[in-house]
Amino acid sequence: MGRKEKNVQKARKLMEKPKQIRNIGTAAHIDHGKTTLSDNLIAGAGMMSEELAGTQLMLDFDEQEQERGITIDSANVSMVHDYEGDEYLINLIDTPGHVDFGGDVTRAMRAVDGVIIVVCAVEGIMPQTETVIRQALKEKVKPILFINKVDRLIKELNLGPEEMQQRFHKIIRNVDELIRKNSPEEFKGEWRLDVEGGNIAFGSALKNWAISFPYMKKEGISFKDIYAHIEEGKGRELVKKAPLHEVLLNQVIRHMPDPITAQEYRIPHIWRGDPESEIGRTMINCSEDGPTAMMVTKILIDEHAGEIAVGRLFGGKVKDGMELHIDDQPKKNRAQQVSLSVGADRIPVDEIKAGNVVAIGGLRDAIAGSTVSSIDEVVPFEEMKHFSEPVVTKAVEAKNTADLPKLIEVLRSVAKADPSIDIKIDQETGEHLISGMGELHLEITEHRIQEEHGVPITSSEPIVVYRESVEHEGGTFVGISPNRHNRFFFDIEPLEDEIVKAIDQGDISVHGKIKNKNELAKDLRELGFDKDESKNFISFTEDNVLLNMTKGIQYLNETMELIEQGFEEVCEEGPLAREPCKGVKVKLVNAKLHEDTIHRGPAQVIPAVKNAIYGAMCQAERILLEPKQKVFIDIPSDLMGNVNVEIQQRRGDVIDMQQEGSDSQIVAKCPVAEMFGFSGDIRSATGGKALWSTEHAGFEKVPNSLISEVVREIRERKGLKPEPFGESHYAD
Amino acid sequence: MKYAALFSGGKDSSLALWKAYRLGLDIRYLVTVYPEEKYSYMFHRPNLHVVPDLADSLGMELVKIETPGEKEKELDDLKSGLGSLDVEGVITGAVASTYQMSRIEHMANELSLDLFAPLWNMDENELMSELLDNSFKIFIVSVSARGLDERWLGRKLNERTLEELKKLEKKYCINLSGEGGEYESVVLGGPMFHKEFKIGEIEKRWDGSRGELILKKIEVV
Repeated sequence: MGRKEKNVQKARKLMEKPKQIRNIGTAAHIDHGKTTLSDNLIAGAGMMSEELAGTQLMLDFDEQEQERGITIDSANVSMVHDYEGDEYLINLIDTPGHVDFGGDVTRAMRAVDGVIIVVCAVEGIMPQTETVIRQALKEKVKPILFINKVDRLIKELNLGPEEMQQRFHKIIRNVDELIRKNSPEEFKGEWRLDVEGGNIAFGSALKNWAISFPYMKKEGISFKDIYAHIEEGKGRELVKKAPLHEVLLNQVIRHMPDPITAQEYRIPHIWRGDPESEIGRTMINCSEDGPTAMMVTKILIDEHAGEIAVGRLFGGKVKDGMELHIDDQPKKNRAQQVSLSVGADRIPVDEIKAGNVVAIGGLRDAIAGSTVSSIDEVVPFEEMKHFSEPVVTKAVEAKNTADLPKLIEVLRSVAKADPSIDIKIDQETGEHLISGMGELHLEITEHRIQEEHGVPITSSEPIVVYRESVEHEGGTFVGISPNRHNRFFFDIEPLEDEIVKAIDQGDISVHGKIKNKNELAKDLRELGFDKDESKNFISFTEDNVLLNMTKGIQYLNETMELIEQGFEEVCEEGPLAREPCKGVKVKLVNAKLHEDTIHRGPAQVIPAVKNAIYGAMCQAERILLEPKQKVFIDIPSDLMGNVNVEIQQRRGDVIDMQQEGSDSQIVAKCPVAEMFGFSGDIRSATGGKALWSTEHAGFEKVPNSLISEVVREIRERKGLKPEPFGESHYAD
Repeated sequence: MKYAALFSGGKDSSLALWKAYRLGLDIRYLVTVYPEEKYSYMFHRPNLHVVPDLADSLGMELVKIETPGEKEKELDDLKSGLGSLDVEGVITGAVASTYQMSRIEHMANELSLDLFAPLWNMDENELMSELLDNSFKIFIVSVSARGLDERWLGRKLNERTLEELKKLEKKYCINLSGEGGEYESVVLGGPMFHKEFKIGEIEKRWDGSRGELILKKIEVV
């Protein structure tokens, strides 16, 4: 029996003992070496051959991932590790580093209790490092730090031992500060990086070594020694002295909580049901006796087995043939092929218990984010908060008409597997829309549709998704119903930035029923609403808000649902170009209603309300917002000029520029609309020497000089007349 | 008992009139209110100028009541007009508007008139079928509801248009018989007509969410 097979056997035993399980993830800025780290951990733990590690990128098992050398999907793997005489099962979830796939990171965080934050020693803290730390702590996931690519400090930057040490301290200080700032209240002060305590390691994932400060002390190794080893090219010795998986997995076991410990404080945080209920207690105690409760973090598409739901089992157990409820789905699904994951392989098991990461077939109705349980109507896990939203759309069509029905199937399945993809299916025209985080995200999705699902498609040029909003406060505008018997008076103003931000970050939840109106009113007041406004809240549509500022108007209550519907429709299609609205505060200030219900039905109220809001938006001056991206570019300093030209040509602003030896880093902010084709252009402008990544940077106003041109383009594309309606169109 | 029938030339008052006629009621007058206000709460307005022709074809005497059409005041005008007629009962085509019905009831009580409202609370589907089954020639002359666009002006109500209306009813919750003011109609022919009319010269007015068709001329077929 090979080592791998032995380990599989051990894993089967260990998954029964929650105290000996750790569910962990890795998270980092793109290209800081996360996947290489994961691979070497797996290889070290004997789950793949040691020679391949470091080059195979086992977790990047998607063909494209290997081609592009970046991780697209978060994969998961289970491994066995010895620590002080006991064996442990470590379930590792590797998350993508590219921000285009941010939704996956958020979901992965929910499934793990601890995370290794990987930071490149050369680049230091990058914006996405900050994002992932924030995401982890928000989910009460405990972080430890690994400083990677240490050898490059010496070989490429020619730093001396002193400078190297300084650099480590700087990174540690910065990461620690981020942890301190974002830690949940109960862990403030406790979840800190501690040089002496050993929750920090540094090394090279690629060269397969890692070392911690306590380890250095214990073994009597100094910085000078390490330095000398690298400088003299004796990396091999370091690997023997301080093998990566030994050092890091020891830290994981020592510093990260087992599922029993973690679920006690995480369940009340990530699940809003009654903690005293049977299922609540089962999860908090991580007990196998009780109802099954699992959160799906990912759907994998397996060529043979179909859709596989991967997720964390928080309570009860799962076995083949079990009938399971998928949160709001009417029919139960039957679990098949319950298994542990080992890289691209899945190891079938008879039964799996609470505290593990599990892969299950047969859950056809599940999507990433679903709550799965053996009992009906379980309170779902808190809606997961996405930090980025789809900003680029493409229209796709099947090349062969015969594939039409299949394409719809495939699109649905693609959206199930990756909820950060939005699809709109148009049965009539056969032209379907897919929206994603960026050009790359869509390219990969198209590739999946064609190669993995075998449906040839043609696609349009990418289209940017805009938002509409207003510039300032406007006057009152009245909308009259078609039958002239109902009038609605609205005021419009921009919603406070603080509130928009809170909604975008998920601090204020705008989906589903408002649980506690008083609490929401208090939050809104703290973020800038006056007392009246916060009291008069009616509803949200994304980050737009409807307020009812009227008092004692007869029949208004029974009409409010229709008013909300009109408001919603406006938010979905703004007045300029029928793009969604963002950050609009809509205040109903007066209304006159016909006393007969029949004269104030939907066909009367909705158009009146829409006209009133549209008209009021005209008065408040309509503006268009475009998505922006932060672009991070690493290049040799002598090419900075070329890069600057590329940025200027794309309406970009350089925000930051740093030079380190012969290397430079430029941080710029560009409109997404101008970023199409950047990949090729930057390559030719720099002879392929630029390393770059992007991050969603929110929406900003389209410059006044461009608005009408952009509006016209969008309208023509949508088959509308080129000029938007003026205010008078919405009046009387 | 002698009756006066409130009559606008639209489908509901035409159907009510016919139902009364079939029951053998002694109908002496058609009473039409001419409000100056464009959007009366109580009375239909577009194309009232063709009502005399219709009355003529129905063989009925027409009583015109002019009113400035201010809310509530228009009723007083109707009341004094009706009060001066030599009748004991009044016929209305009210179907579902409590506003209309409660006011007419009140007025009839005050004038001690018998109120005949054969369409009151009638199911819209039934009402529409009855109109079509009895070959009323109905044209849509104004629309004011989401889902009803300019193309509806001047259309004849038949099985096909009814099906379309039913779809809109599902989609936009409009009332099938136009009771919420969704559309108004004119009847140019039907069971009681001695001679029928067709639409001659017209003018369409459209302002974005609603519109009307003015019949400049109707011609005897």
